[in-house]
Amino acid sequence: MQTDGQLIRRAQAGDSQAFGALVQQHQGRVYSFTRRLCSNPDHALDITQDTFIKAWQALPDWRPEARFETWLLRIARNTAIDGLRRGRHEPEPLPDDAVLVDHGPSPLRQLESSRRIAQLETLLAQLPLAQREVILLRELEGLSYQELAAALDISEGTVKSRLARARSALLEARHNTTGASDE
Amino acid sequence: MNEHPDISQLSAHLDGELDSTETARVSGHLLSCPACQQQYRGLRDLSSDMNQLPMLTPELDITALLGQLPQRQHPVPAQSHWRRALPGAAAAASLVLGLLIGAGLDAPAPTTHEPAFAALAILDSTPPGALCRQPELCYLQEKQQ
Repeated sequence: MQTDGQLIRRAQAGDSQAFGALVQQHQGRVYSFTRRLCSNPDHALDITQDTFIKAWQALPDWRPEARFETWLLRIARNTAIDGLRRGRHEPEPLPDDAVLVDHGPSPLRQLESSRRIAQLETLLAQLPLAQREVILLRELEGLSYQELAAALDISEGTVKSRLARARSALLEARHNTTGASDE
Repeated sequence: MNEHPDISQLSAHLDGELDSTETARVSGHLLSCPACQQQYRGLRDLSSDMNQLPMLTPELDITALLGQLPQRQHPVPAQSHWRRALPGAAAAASLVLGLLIGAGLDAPAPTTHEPAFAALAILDSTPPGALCRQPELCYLQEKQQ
């Protein structure tokens, strides 16, 4: 099994099979991000495919100073934004069955957790795009504020405030939803 | 401290993105403020739930994708070879320069030329013993007159 670094070097030299292995490894992260970022599954799949084609072309310019995943997600993000600017698709939340995964020790807790996660997916889809992308990259991809600032081309101060607004909006929406369902 | 940290400070504290002074200040406040503790707990739970969002699997046809890869406009090998060759070329240039300088040291000594203007002959580099190569310029002219 070759490391990412070895595969990247081979792909940089024109080895498409090595690039295929990189696609295999990273397609889930790219697709998960684009699917939550912008729109329907077909559109997200198109963006994922476009992302890897662009990555192939830009790969000679990639340098090890940049994390490969972060670099890929930045391409994915820009591709998705371009698509949204052209107004091709409207965002739509994930279906509930997309998040029915085992998280709890008991069936009741499992059901509760699944419901909470499904609700979170819906609330995420309602966030403004700028807030959604920053919280997805922070929480799911673990980017630091410095990496977020570079990936989104904004200052670290903006990262900090935008992330706080996103979290605050999600908490408030969750509180409103939970409060409404409790009544 | 009495001043409550705002949501962006709590959020950055959760991410470990505050400097040490701010971290200590917010941590100290959290110890004694139930309202901020509750807000912080909400942020932490939200973060925990975000981390449980599943990874979605695309139905990407990788073979078809690889078939669509375009030719690169600037192939890597040319650039990387050039970059790799740069230190070697610099070393070779240094070597050639050194050889040229070394060859210059072995060359015959430069020939000395007689000054074109006779008056400058007294400034000639001839060592003592032949103090004056052109006496007519060094001695008084009275005897001739």
